[in-house]
Amino acid sequence: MFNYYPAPVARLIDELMKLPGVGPKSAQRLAFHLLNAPEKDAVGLAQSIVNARQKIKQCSVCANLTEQDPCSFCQDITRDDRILCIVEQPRDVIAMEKTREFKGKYHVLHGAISPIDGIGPEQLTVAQLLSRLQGSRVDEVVVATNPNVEGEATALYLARLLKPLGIKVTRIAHGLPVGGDLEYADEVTLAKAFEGRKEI
Amino acid sequence: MKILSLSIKNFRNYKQQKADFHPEVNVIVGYNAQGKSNLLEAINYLSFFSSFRNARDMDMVRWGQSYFFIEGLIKKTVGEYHLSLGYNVDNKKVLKINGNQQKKVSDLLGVFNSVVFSPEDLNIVKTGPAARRKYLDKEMIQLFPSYYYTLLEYQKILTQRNNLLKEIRENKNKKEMLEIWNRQLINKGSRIIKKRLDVLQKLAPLARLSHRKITNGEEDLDINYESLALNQEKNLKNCSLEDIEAIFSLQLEKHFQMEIYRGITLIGPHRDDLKLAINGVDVRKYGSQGQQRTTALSLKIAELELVKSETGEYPVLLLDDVMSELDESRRNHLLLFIGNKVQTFITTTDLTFKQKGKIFFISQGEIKETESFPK
Repeated sequence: MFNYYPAPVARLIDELMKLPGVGPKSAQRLAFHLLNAPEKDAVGLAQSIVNARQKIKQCSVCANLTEQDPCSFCQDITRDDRILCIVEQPRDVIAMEKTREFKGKYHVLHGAISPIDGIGPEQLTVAQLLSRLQGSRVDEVVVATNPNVEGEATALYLARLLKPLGIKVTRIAHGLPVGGDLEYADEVTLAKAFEGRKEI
Repeated sequence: MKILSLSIKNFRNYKQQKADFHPEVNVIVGYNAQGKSNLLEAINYLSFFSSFRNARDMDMVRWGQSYFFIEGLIKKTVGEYHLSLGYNVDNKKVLKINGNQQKKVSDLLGVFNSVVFSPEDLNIVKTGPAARRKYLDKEMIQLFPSYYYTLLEYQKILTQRNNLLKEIRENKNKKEMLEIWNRQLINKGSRIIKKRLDVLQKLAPLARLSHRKITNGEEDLDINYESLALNQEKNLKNCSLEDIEAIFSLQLEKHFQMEIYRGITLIGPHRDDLKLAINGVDVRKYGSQGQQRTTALSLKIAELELVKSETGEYPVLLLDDVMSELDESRRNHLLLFIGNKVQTFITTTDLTFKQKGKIFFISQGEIKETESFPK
Protein backbone atom coordinates (compact mmCIF):
# COMPACT_ATOMS: atom_id res chain seq x y z
CA MET A 1 0.00 0.00 0.00
CA PHE A 2 2.96 2.35 0.52
CA ASN A 3 4.00 2.13 -3.09
CA TYR A 4 2.30 5.49 -3.53
CA TYR A 5 4.91 7.22 -1.38
CA PRO A 6 8.56 8.02 -2.01
CA ALA A 7 10.70 5.53 -0.08
CA PRO A 8 11.71 7.89 2.81
CA VAL A 9 8.05 8.80 3.43
CA ALA A 10 7.00 5.16 3.36
CA ARG A 11 9.71 4.37 5.88
CA LEU A 12 8.55 7.20 8.15
CA ILE A 13 4.94 5.98 8.01
CA ASP A 14 6.11 2.46 8.75
CA GLU A 15 8.00 3.62 11.82
CA LEU A 16 5.15 5.77 13.09
CA MET A 17 2.77 2.83 12.78
CA LYS A 18 4.85 0.94 15.33
CA LEU A 19 3.71 3.44 17.98
CA PRO A 20 0.82 2.42 20.22
CA GLY A 21 -2.58 3.62 19.07
CA VAL A 22 -1.33 4.70 15.65
CA GLY A 23 -2.86 3.02 12.61
CA PRO A 24 -2.14 3.53 8.92
CA LYS A 25 -4.33 6.64 8.61
CA SER A 26 -2.95 8.42 11.68
CA ALA A 27 0.58 7.48 10.66
CA GLN A 28 0.05 9.03 7.24
CA ARG A 29 -1.37 12.18 8.79
CA LEU A 30 1.52 12.51 11.24
CA ALA A 31 4.09 11.88 8.52
CA PHE A 32 2.69 14.60 6.27
CA HIS A 33 2.40 16.94 9.20
CA LEU A 34 6.08 16.45 9.96
CA LEU A 35 7.03 16.97 6.32
CA ASN A 36 5.05 20.20 6.10
CA ALA A 37 6.24 21.58 9.45
CA PRO A 38 9.28 23.91 9.63
CA GLU A 39 12.43 21.86 9.39
CA LYS A 40 13.62 22.82 12.86
CA ASP A 41 10.44 21.39 14.41
CA ALA A 42 10.90 18.04 12.74
CA VAL A 43 14.61 17.91 13.51
CA GLY A 44 13.87 19.03 17.08
CA LEU A 45 11.48 16.11 17.50
CA ALA A 46 13.98 13.65 16.08
CA GLN A 47 16.73 14.98 18.34
CA SER A 48 14.58 14.93 21.45
CA ILE A 49 13.71 11.29 20.77
CA VAL A 50 17.37 10.38 20.39
CA ASN A 51 18.31 12.48 23.40
CA ALA A 52 15.65 10.96 25.69
CA ARG A 53 16.46 7.50 24.46
CA GLN A 54 20.19 7.86 25.17
CA LYS A 55 19.97 9.60 28.51
CA ILE A 56 17.11 7.67 30.11
CA LYS A 57 17.89 4.31 31.62
CA GLN A 58 16.48 1.98 34.24
CA CYS A 59 17.34 2.77 37.84
CA SER A 60 19.55 0.00 39.18
CA VAL A 61 17.56 -0.06 42.43
CA CYS A 62 13.88 0.37 41.58
CA ALA A 63 13.94 -0.11 37.78
CA ASN A 64 12.05 3.14 37.22
CA LEU A 65 13.12 5.20 34.22
CA THR A 66 15.63 7.84 35.20
CA GLU A 67 18.38 10.14 33.97
CA GLN A 68 20.68 9.64 36.95
CA ASP A 69 21.28 6.33 38.67
CA PRO A 70 20.01 5.72 41.32
CA CYS A 71 16.87 7.70 40.53
CA SER A 72 15.62 10.68 42.51
CA PHE A 73 13.09 8.55 44.41
CA CYS A 74 15.73 6.11 45.55
CA GLN A 75 18.13 8.91 46.55
CA ASP A 76 15.50 10.90 48.43
CA ILE A 77 16.30 10.38 52.12
CA THR A 78 13.05 12.02 53.24
CA ARG A 79 11.08 9.10 51.79
CA ASP A 80 10.20 6.21 54.09
CA ASP A 81 12.36 3.24 53.15
CA ARG A 82 10.31 0.79 55.22
CA ILE A 83 7.43 0.72 52.79
CA LEU A 84 7.68 -0.23 49.15
CA CYS A 85 5.05 0.17 46.45
CA ILE A 86 5.24 -2.25 43.53
CA VAL A 87 3.77 -1.11 40.21
CA GLU A 88 3.70 -2.51 36.67
CA GLN A 89 4.85 0.52 34.67
CA PRO A 90 6.81 3.74 35.17
CA ARG A 91 3.63 5.67 34.37
CA ASP A 92 2.01 4.06 37.41
CA VAL A 93 4.69 5.67 39.59
CA ILE A 94 3.61 9.04 38.24
CA ALA A 95 -0.03 8.23 38.93
CA MET A 96 0.81 7.28 42.51
CA GLU A 97 2.97 10.38 42.97
CA LYS A 98 0.12 12.65 41.91
CA THR A 99 -1.85 11.48 44.93
CA ARG A 100 0.92 12.89 47.18
CA GLU A 101 -0.24 10.27 49.70
CA PHE A 102 2.50 7.74 49.34
CA LYS A 103 5.83 8.68 50.87
CA GLY A 104 7.62 5.35 50.59
CA LYS A 105 9.76 3.97 47.79
CA TYR A 106 8.84 2.30 44.53
CA HIS A 107 9.64 -0.74 42.50
CA VAL A 108 8.71 -1.00 38.81
CA LEU A 109 8.12 -4.50 37.41
CA HIS A 110 7.88 -3.47 33.74
CA GLY A 111 4.93 -5.74 33.09
CA ALA A 112 2.82 -8.45 34.67
CA ILE A 113 2.97 -12.23 34.61
CA SER A 114 1.27 -13.48 31.47
CA PRO A 115 2.05 -16.97 30.15
CA ILE A 116 0.38 -16.30 26.77
CA ASP A 117 2.81 -13.46 26.18
CA GLY A 118 5.72 -15.51 27.50
CA ILE A 119 6.14 -13.19 30.48
CA GLY A 120 7.12 -14.83 33.76
CA PRO A 121 8.94 -13.51 36.83
CA GLU A 122 12.25 -13.84 34.93
CA GLN A 123 11.10 -11.25 32.39
CA LEU A 124 10.12 -8.83 35.15
CA THR A 125 12.41 -7.10 37.64
CA VAL A 126 11.63 -9.61 40.37
CA ALA A 127 15.25 -10.74 40.89
CA GLN A 128 16.23 -7.08 41.30
CA LEU A 129 13.40 -6.70 43.84
CA LEU A 130 14.61 -9.67 45.88
CA SER A 131 18.19 -8.48 45.97
CA ARG A 132 17.21 -4.97 47.09
CA LEU A 133 14.98 -6.41 49.82
CA GLN A 134 17.85 -8.42 51.24
CA GLY A 135 19.19 -6.61 54.27
CA SER A 136 16.84 -3.67 53.70
CA ARG A 137 14.55 -2.05 56.26
CA VAL A 138 11.40 -2.73 54.21
CA ASP A 139 8.67 -4.25 56.37
CA GLU A 140 5.66 -3.68 54.12
CA VAL A 141 5.22 -4.16 50.40
CA VAL A 142 2.13 -2.66 48.76
CA VAL A 143 1.27 -4.44 45.52
CA ALA A 144 -0.32 -1.90 43.19
CA THR A 145 -0.51 -3.95 39.99
CA ASN A 146 -3.57 -3.48 37.78
CA PRO A 147 -6.85 -5.05 38.92
CA ASN A 148 -7.03 -7.45 35.95
CA VAL A 149 -6.33 -11.16 35.58
CA GLU A 150 -2.58 -10.71 34.98
CA GLY A 151 -2.11 -8.05 37.63
CA GLU A 152 -3.91 -10.20 40.15
CA ALA A 153 -1.76 -13.24 39.31
CA THR A 154 1.37 -11.12 39.70
CA ALA A 155 0.16 -9.87 43.07
CA LEU A 156 -0.46 -13.43 44.27
CA TYR A 157 2.97 -14.47 43.04
CA LEU A 158 4.68 -11.64 44.91
CA ALA A 159 2.72 -12.39 48.06
CA ARG A 160 3.86 -16.02 47.98
CA LEU A 161 7.41 -14.97 47.30
CA LEU A 162 7.76 -12.23 49.91
CA LYS A 163 5.70 -13.45 52.86
CA PRO A 164 8.26 -16.13 53.84
CA LEU A 165 10.81 -13.32 54.13
CA GLY A 166 8.79 -11.90 57.00
CA ILE A 167 7.55 -8.93 54.96
CA LYS A 168 3.95 -7.81 55.21
CA VAL A 169 2.39 -7.89 51.75
CA THR A 170 -0.68 -5.76 51.10
CA ARG A 171 -2.82 -5.20 48.02
CA ILE A 172 -4.40 -1.88 47.12
CA ALA A 173 -8.20 -1.95 47.35
CA HIS A 174 -10.39 -1.77 44.29
CA GLY A 175 -13.96 -0.66 44.09
CA LEU A 176 -15.96 2.51 43.81
CA PRO A 177 -14.46 5.72 42.49
CA VAL A 178 -14.49 8.47 45.11
CA GLY A 179 -17.05 11.21 44.58
CA GLY A 180 -19.03 8.98 42.25
CA ASP A 181 -22.60 7.88 42.63
CA LEU A 182 -23.39 4.35 43.62
CA GLU A 183 -26.07 4.05 40.96
CA TYR A 184 -23.61 4.80 38.16
CA ALA A 185 -21.11 2.13 39.15
CA ASP A 186 -21.14 -0.98 36.97
CA GLU A 187 -22.10 -4.27 38.60
CA VAL A 188 -18.61 -5.76 38.56
CA THR A 189 -17.01 -2.81 40.32
CA LEU A 190 -19.87 -2.67 42.79
CA ALA A 191 -19.54 -6.38 43.52
CA LYS A 192 -15.79 -5.92 44.07
CA ALA A 193 -16.41 -3.00 46.39
CA PHE A 194 -18.93 -5.11 48.28
CA GLU A 195 -16.40 -7.90 48.68
CA GLY A 196 -13.83 -5.51 50.12
CA ARG A 197 -16.23 -3.90 52.60
CA LYS A 198 -14.85 -2.76 55.95
CA GLU A 199 -16.21 -2.41 59.41
CA ILE A 200 -16.62 1.22 60.47
CA MET B 1 -41.21 -6.10 25.57
CA LYS B 2 -41.67 -5.18 21.92
CA ILE B 3 -39.58 -3.78 19.14
CA LEU B 4 -41.79 -1.26 17.34
CA SER B 5 -39.51 -0.35 14.47
CA LEU B 6 -36.09 -1.08 13.06
CA SER B 7 -33.78 0.90 10.77
CA ILE B 8 -30.76 -0.77 9.26
CA LYS B 9 -28.01 0.51 7.03
CA ASN B 10 -25.26 -1.47 5.30
CA PHE B 11 -26.05 -4.50 7.40
CA ARG B 12 -25.47 -7.81 5.59
CA ASN B 13 -27.34 -7.52 2.28
CA TYR B 14 -29.44 -4.53 3.38
CA LYS B 15 -28.52 -1.15 1.96
CA GLN B 16 -30.95 0.98 3.89
CA GLN B 17 -34.30 -0.23 5.17
CA LYS B 18 -36.87 0.66 7.78
CA ALA B 19 -39.76 -1.43 9.05
CA ASP B 20 -42.60 -0.85 11.50
CA PHE B 21 -43.48 -4.06 13.26
CA HIS B 22 -46.72 -5.52 14.56
CA PRO B 23 -46.79 -5.80 18.36
CA GLU B 24 -47.71 -9.48 18.19
CA VAL B 25 -46.76 -11.57 15.18
CA ASN B 26 -44.51 -10.62 12.28
CA VAL B 27 -44.09 -13.19 9.56
CA ILE B 28 -40.98 -12.66 7.44
CA VAL B 29 -41.48 -14.44 4.16
CA GLY B 30 -39.28 -14.71 1.11
CA TYR B 31 -37.32 -17.05 -1.11
CA ASN B 32 -33.93 -18.39 -0.05
CA ALA B 33 -30.95 -16.06 0.33
CA GLN B 34 -32.97 -12.84 0.32
CA GLY B 35 -32.13 -11.68 3.86
CA LYS B 36 -34.81 -13.13 6.15
CA SER B 37 -32.40 -14.41 8.79
CA ASN B 38 -30.29 -11.26 8.43
CA LEU B 39 -33.28 -9.28 9.64
CA LEU B 40 -33.57 -11.45 12.76
CA GLU B 41 -29.83 -11.16 13.23
CA ALA B 42 -30.12 -7.35 13.22
CA ILE B 43 -32.92 -7.44 15.81
CA ASN B 44 -30.99 -9.87 18.03
CA TYR B 45 -27.86 -7.74 17.65
CA LEU B 46 -29.59 -5.05 19.71
CA SER B 47 -29.76 -7.54 22.59
CA PHE B 48 -26.25 -8.98 22.56
CA PHE B 49 -24.22 -6.70 20.27
CA SER B 50 -22.86 -9.79 18.63
CA SER B 51 -24.24 -12.16 16.00
CA PHE B 52 -26.26 -15.19 17.02
CA ARG B 53 -24.75 -16.91 14.00
CA ASN B 54 -21.26 -16.33 15.42
CA ALA B 55 -20.32 -14.03 12.55
CA ARG B 56 -17.61 -11.45 13.13
CA ASP B 57 -18.76 -7.83 13.14
CA MET B 58 -16.65 -6.97 10.12
CA ASP B 59 -18.30 -9.77 8.14
CA MET B 60 -21.73 -8.27 8.70
CA VAL B 61 -20.85 -5.03 6.97
CA ARG B 62 -22.44 -4.85 3.53
CA TRP B 63 -20.04 -5.75 0.75
CA GLY B 64 -17.88 -2.79 -0.25
CA GLN B 65 -18.95 -0.63 2.71
CA SER B 66 -17.00 0.29 5.84
CA TYR B 67 -19.72 0.50 8.48
CA PHE B 68 -23.16 -0.67 9.49
CA PHE B 69 -25.85 0.90 11.59
CA ILE B 70 -28.82 -0.59 13.43
CA GLU B 71 -31.46 1.36 15.29
CA GLY B 72 -34.50 0.02 17.06
CA LEU B 73 -37.38 1.55 18.94
CA ILE B 74 -38.03 -0.63 21.98
CA LYS B 75 -41.22 -0.47 24.00
CA LYS B 76 -41.21 -1.74 27.55
CA THR B 77 -43.85 -1.33 30.21
CA VAL B 78 -41.74 1.41 31.77
CA GLY B 79 -41.22 3.41 28.61
CA GLU B 80 -39.74 3.60 25.13
CA TYR B 81 -36.08 3.38 24.26
CA HIS B 82 -34.17 4.27 21.12
CA LEU B 83 -31.33 1.81 20.93
CA SER B 84 -28.74 2.42 18.26
CA LEU B 85 -25.49 0.89 17.27
CA GLY B 86 -22.93 1.96 14.72
CA TYR B 87 -20.02 -0.26 13.81
CA ASN B 88 -17.12 1.07 11.79
CA VAL B 89 -14.45 -1.27 10.46
CA ASP B 90 -11.69 1.10 11.66
CA ASN B 91 -13.17 2.13 14.97
CA LYS B 92 -15.09 0.35 17.58
CA LYS B 93 -18.81 0.20 18.16
CA VAL B 94 -20.74 3.31 19.07
CA LEU B 95 -23.67 2.41 21.31
CA LYS B 96 -26.41 4.86 22.11
CA ILE B 97 -29.55 4.75 24.16
CA ASN B 98 -31.99 7.61 23.58
CA GLY B 99 -29.14 9.48 21.90
CA ASN B 100 -26.77 9.15 24.87
CA GLN B 101 -23.57 7.35 24.10
CA GLN B 102 -22.70 4.40 26.33
CA LYS B 103 -19.16 3.28 26.91
CA LYS B 104 -19.57 -0.42 27.42
CA VAL B 105 -21.62 -3.18 25.89
CA SER B 106 -22.55 -4.27 29.40
CA ASP B 107 -24.35 -0.95 29.93
CA LEU B 108 -26.82 -1.96 27.24
CA LEU B 109 -27.09 -5.68 27.80
CA GLY B 110 -30.51 -6.38 29.20
CA VAL B 111 -32.18 -3.22 27.87
CA PHE B 112 -33.72 -5.20 25.02
CA ASN B 113 -34.18 -8.92 25.54
CA SER B 114 -34.68 -11.21 22.59
CA VAL B 115 -34.44 -14.95 22.25
CA VAL B 116 -33.57 -16.76 19.03
CA PHE B 117 -34.97 -20.17 18.24
CA SER B 118 -33.28 -21.74 15.26
CA PRO B 119 -32.97 -25.27 13.87
CA GLU B 120 -29.60 -25.63 15.67
CA ASP B 121 -31.43 -25.12 18.96
CA LEU B 122 -33.44 -28.23 18.20
CA ASN B 123 -30.17 -30.16 18.33
CA ILE B 124 -29.11 -28.74 21.68
CA VAL B 125 -30.15 -31.96 23.41
CA LYS B 126 -28.22 -34.42 21.28
CA THR B 127 -25.06 -32.45 20.48
CA GLY B 128 -22.14 -31.89 22.82
CA PRO B 129 -22.09 -30.17 26.22
CA ALA B 130 -20.82 -26.91 24.68
CA ALA B 131 -24.23 -26.19 23.12
CA ARG B 132 -25.99 -26.72 26.43
CA ARG B 133 -23.53 -24.50 28.29
CA LYS B 134 -24.00 -21.85 25.65
CA TYR B 135 -27.77 -22.07 26.05
CA LEU B 136 -27.48 -21.42 29.77
CA ASP B 137 -24.80 -18.74 29.50
CA LYS B 138 -26.55 -16.79 26.78
CA GLU B 139 -29.69 -16.67 28.84
CA MET B 140 -27.81 -15.56 31.95
CA ILE B 141 -25.81 -12.84 30.19
CA GLN B 142 -29.05 -11.09 29.32
CA LEU B 143 -30.37 -11.29 32.84
CA PHE B 144 -27.21 -10.68 34.81
CA PRO B 145 -24.71 -8.39 33.07
CA SER B 146 -22.04 -9.00 35.71
CA TYR B 147 -22.13 -12.70 34.78
CA TYR B 148 -20.82 -11.69 31.36
CA TYR B 149 -17.76 -10.13 32.96
CA THR B 150 -17.15 -13.11 35.19
CA LEU B 151 -17.26 -15.34 32.10
CA LEU B 152 -14.83 -13.09 30.22
CA GLU B 153 -12.42 -13.00 33.15
CA TYR B 154 -12.68 -16.74 33.61
CA GLN B 155 -11.88 -17.23 29.94
CA LYS B 156 -8.77 -15.07 30.28
CA ILE B 157 -7.60 -16.97 33.34
CA LEU B 158 -8.23 -20.23 31.51
CA THR B 159 -6.16 -19.18 28.49
CA GLN B 160 -3.27 -18.13 30.71
CA ARG B 161 -3.47 -21.25 32.84
CA ASN B 162 -3.64 -23.60 29.84
CA ASN B 163 -0.60 -21.90 28.38
CA LEU B 164 1.24 -22.36 31.64
CA LEU B 165 0.25 -26.05 31.85
CA LYS B 166 1.76 -26.64 28.42
CA GLU B 167 4.93 -24.83 29.45
CA ILE B 168 5.18 -26.93 32.60
CA ARG B 169 4.73 -30.08 30.51
CA GLU B 170 7.62 -28.99 28.32
CA ASN B 171 9.69 -28.10 31.41
CA LYS B 172 9.75 -24.46 30.40
CA ASN B 173 8.08 -23.32 33.60
CA LYS B 174 7.77 -24.30 37.24
CA LYS B 175 4.85 -26.19 38.79
CA GLU B 176 4.71 -23.65 41.61
CA MET B 177 3.56 -20.99 39.17
CA LEU B 178 0.26 -22.79 38.77
CA GLU B 179 -0.89 -21.76 42.21
CA ILE B 180 -1.25 -18.07 41.40
CA TRP B 181 -3.67 -18.94 38.60
CA ASN B 182 -5.51 -21.60 40.59
CA ARG B 183 -6.75 -19.10 43.12
CA GLN B 184 -8.30 -16.91 40.45
CA LEU B 185 -9.65 -19.91 38.55
CA ILE B 186 -11.38 -21.21 41.67
CA ASN B 187 -12.68 -17.80 42.62
CA LYS B 188 -14.25 -16.95 39.25
CA GLY B 189 -15.14 -20.53 38.34
CA SER B 190 -17.03 -21.08 41.58
CA ARG B 191 -19.02 -17.90 41.04
CA ILE B 192 -20.02 -19.11 37.58
CA ILE B 193 -21.05 -22.51 38.90
CA LYS B 194 -22.98 -21.00 41.80
CA LYS B 195 -24.84 -18.61 39.52
CA ARG B 196 -25.66 -21.39 37.07
CA LEU B 197 -27.00 -23.56 39.90
CA ASP B 198 -29.17 -20.69 41.11
CA VAL B 199 -30.58 -20.04 37.65
CA LEU B 200 -31.14 -23.72 36.99
CA GLN B 201 -33.18 -23.98 40.14
CA LYS B 202 -35.64 -21.55 38.59
CA LEU B 203 -35.33 -22.80 35.02
CA ALA B 204 -35.81 -26.51 35.70
CA PRO B 205 -39.39 -26.33 37.05
CA LEU B 206 -40.40 -24.03 34.18
CA ALA B 207 -39.04 -26.48 31.61
CA ARG B 208 -40.68 -29.37 33.43
CA LEU B 209 -44.04 -27.65 33.39
CA SER B 210 -43.81 -26.84 29.70
CA HIS B 211 -42.72 -30.38 28.92
CA ARG B 212 -45.68 -31.86 30.77
CA LYS B 213 -48.02 -29.64 28.79
CA ILE B 214 -46.58 -30.62 25.41
CA THR B 215 -46.64 -34.34 26.25
CA ASN B 216 -50.06 -34.22 27.95
CA GLY B 217 -48.52 -35.10 31.29
CA GLU B 218 -46.84 -38.25 30.06
CA GLU B 219 -43.25 -37.17 30.42
CA ASP B 220 -41.37 -35.69 33.35
CA LEU B 221 -38.31 -33.68 32.42
CA ASP B 222 -35.49 -33.35 34.95
CA ILE B 223 -32.61 -30.94 34.48
CA ASN B 224 -29.53 -31.23 36.63
CA TYR B 225 -26.17 -29.56 36.61
CA GLU B 226 -23.28 -31.91 35.92
CA SER B 227 -20.05 -30.51 37.21
CA LEU B 228 -16.60 -32.06 37.07
CA ALA B 229 -15.42 -29.60 39.67
CA LEU B 230 -18.14 -30.81 42.03
CA ASN B 231 -17.82 -34.46 41.08
CA GLN B 232 -18.68 -36.12 44.36
CA GLU B 233 -21.16 -33.60 45.59
CA LYS B 234 -24.69 -34.93 45.30
CA ASN B 235 -26.56 -32.18 47.04
CA LEU B 236 -25.67 -29.30 44.74
CA LYS B 237 -28.69 -27.18 45.52
CA ASN B 238 -27.59 -26.43 49.07
CA CYS B 239 -23.98 -25.66 48.16
CA SER B 240 -22.76 -22.27 49.26
CA LEU B 241 -20.11 -20.39 47.30
CA GLU B 242 -17.56 -21.38 49.95
CA ASP B 243 -18.51 -25.06 49.61
CA ILE B 244 -18.06 -24.91 45.85
CA GLU B 245 -14.68 -23.20 46.20
CA ALA B 246 -13.52 -25.88 48.63
CA ILE B 247 -14.60 -28.80 46.44
CA PHE B 248 -13.29 -27.13 43.29
CA SER B 249 -9.93 -26.68 44.97
CA LEU B 250 -9.79 -30.33 46.06
CA GLN B 251 -10.65 -31.53 42.57
CA LEU B 252 -7.94 -29.34 41.05
CA GLU B 253 -5.39 -30.90 43.39
CA LYS B 254 -6.58 -34.38 42.44
CA HIS B 255 -6.23 -33.70 38.71
CA PHE B 256 -2.93 -31.88 39.01
CA GLN B 257 -0.78 -34.56 37.29
CA MET B 258 -3.38 -35.25 34.62
CA GLU B 259 -3.71 -31.56 33.78
CA ILE B 260 0.02 -31.21 33.24
CA TYR B 261 0.05 -34.38 31.15
CA ARG B 262 -2.80 -33.14 28.99
CA GLY B 263 -1.73 -29.49 29.00
CA ILE B 264 -5.25 -28.18 29.58
CA THR B 265 -7.48 -27.26 32.50
CA LEU B 266 -9.72 -30.26 33.08
CA ILE B 267 -11.82 -28.96 35.95
CA GLY B 268 -14.19 -26.01 35.94
CA PRO B 269 -17.43 -24.58 34.56
CA HIS B 270 -16.01 -24.70 31.02
CA ARG B 271 -16.29 -28.51 31.18
CA ASP B 272 -19.69 -28.75 32.81
CA ASP B 273 -22.97 -29.91 31.30
CA LEU B 274 -26.71 -30.04 31.80
CA LYS B 275 -28.09 -33.48 32.46
CA LEU B 276 -31.48 -33.85 30.81
CA ALA B 277 -33.62 -36.84 31.76
CA ILE B 278 -37.14 -37.87 30.77
CA ASN B 279 -38.83 -40.15 33.29
CA GLY B 280 -35.40 -40.85 34.70
CA VAL B 281 -33.77 -41.80 31.37
CA ASP B 282 -30.94 -39.69 29.97
CA VAL B 283 -32.56 -38.07 26.94
CA ARG B 284 -29.20 -36.86 25.58
CA LYS B 285 -28.16 -40.45 24.88
CA TYR B 286 -31.31 -42.53 24.83
CA GLY B 287 -34.08 -40.11 23.90
CA SER B 288 -35.92 -40.50 20.62
CA GLN B 289 -35.61 -37.76 18.02
CA GLY B 290 -39.09 -36.58 19.01
CA GLN B 291 -38.29 -36.51 22.72
CA GLN B 292 -35.12 -34.56 22.05
CA ARG B 293 -37.03 -31.97 20.04
CA THR B 294 -39.74 -31.65 22.66
CA THR B 295 -37.05 -31.18 25.30
CA ALA B 296 -35.41 -28.48 23.20
CA LEU B 297 -38.76 -26.74 22.81
CA SER B 298 -39.40 -26.98 26.54
CA LEU B 299 -35.99 -25.47 27.27
CA LYS B 300 -36.75 -22.57 24.93
CA ILE B 301 -40.14 -21.89 26.45
CA ALA B 302 -38.59 -22.07 29.92
CA GLU B 303 -36.04 -19.51 28.78
CA LEU B 304 -38.82 -17.10 27.80
CA GLU B 305 -40.64 -17.71 31.07
CA LEU B 306 -37.47 -17.12 33.07
CA VAL B 307 -36.83 -13.77 31.39
CA LYS B 308 -40.45 -12.89 32.15
CA SER B 309 -40.11 -13.85 35.81
CA GLU B 310 -36.81 -11.99 36.22
CA THR B 311 -37.61 -8.81 34.29
CA GLY B 312 -41.40 -8.74 34.39
CA GLU B 313 -41.65 -8.86 30.59
CA TYR B 314 -41.47 -11.53 27.94
CA PRO B 315 -38.53 -11.13 25.56
CA VAL B 316 -39.05 -10.83 21.83
CA LEU B 317 -39.01 -14.27 20.23
CA LEU B 318 -37.19 -14.77 16.94
CA LEU B 319 -38.07 -18.01 15.19
CA ASP B 320 -35.49 -18.57 12.50
CA ASP B 321 -36.79 -21.20 10.07
CA VAL B 322 -37.91 -23.30 12.97
CA MET B 323 -41.56 -23.77 12.03
CA SER B 324 -40.77 -26.07 9.13
CA GLU B 325 -38.71 -28.23 11.50
CA LEU B 326 -41.46 -28.79 14.03
CA ASP B 327 -44.36 -31.21 13.52
CA GLU B 328 -47.89 -29.91 13.68
CA SER B 329 -48.63 -30.67 17.32
CA ARG B 330 -45.42 -29.06 18.57
CA ARG B 331 -45.94 -26.12 16.24
CA ASN B 332 -49.43 -25.64 17.61
CA HIS B 333 -48.18 -25.86 21.14
CA LEU B 334 -45.59 -23.20 20.46
CA LEU B 335 -48.13 -20.90 18.79
CA LEU B 336 -50.52 -21.48 21.67
CA PHE B 337 -47.80 -20.48 24.13
CA ILE B 338 -46.91 -17.36 22.14
CA GLY B 339 -50.60 -16.38 22.02
CA ASN B 340 -50.70 -12.63 22.09
CA LYS B 341 -48.25 -12.18 24.96
CA VAL B 342 -44.91 -12.61 23.18
CA GLN B 343 -43.96 -10.46 20.21
CA THR B 344 -42.73 -12.97 17.66
CA PHE B 345 -40.85 -12.86 14.39
CA ILE B 346 -41.17 -15.91 12.18
CA THR B 347 -39.09 -16.47 9.08
CA THR B 348 -40.45 -18.92 6.56
CA THR B 349 -40.38 -19.69 2.87
CA ASP B 350 -44.07 -20.56 2.75
CA LEU B 351 -47.20 -19.31 4.46
CA THR B 352 -48.73 -22.64 5.44
CA PHE B 353 -49.87 -21.55 8.89
CA LYS B 354 -52.39 -18.80 9.42
CA GLN B 355 -51.47 -16.01 11.77
CA LYS B 356 -52.74 -12.59 12.54
CA GLY B 357 -50.25 -9.74 12.52
CA LYS B 358 -48.10 -8.37 9.74
CA ILE B 359 -46.44 -10.13 6.84
CA PHE B 360 -43.19 -8.80 5.44
CA PHE B 361 -41.93 -9.90 2.07
CA ILE B 362 -38.15 -9.86 1.73
CA SER B 363 -36.62 -9.71 -1.69
CA GLN B 364 -32.94 -8.96 -2.33
CA GLY B 365 -32.50 -6.88 0.77
CA GLU B 366 -35.78 -4.98 0.50
CA ILE B 367 -38.49 -5.21 3.13
CA LYS B 368 -42.07 -4.79 1.96
CA GLU B 369 -45.21 -5.14 3.99
CA THR B 370 -47.66 -7.37 2.21
CA GLU B 371 -51.00 -9.16 2.60
CA SER B 372 -49.94 -12.50 1.24
CA PHE B 373 -46.95 -14.18 -0.39
CA PRO B 374 -46.52 -12.30 -3.69
CA LYS B 375 -46.13 -14.59 -6.67
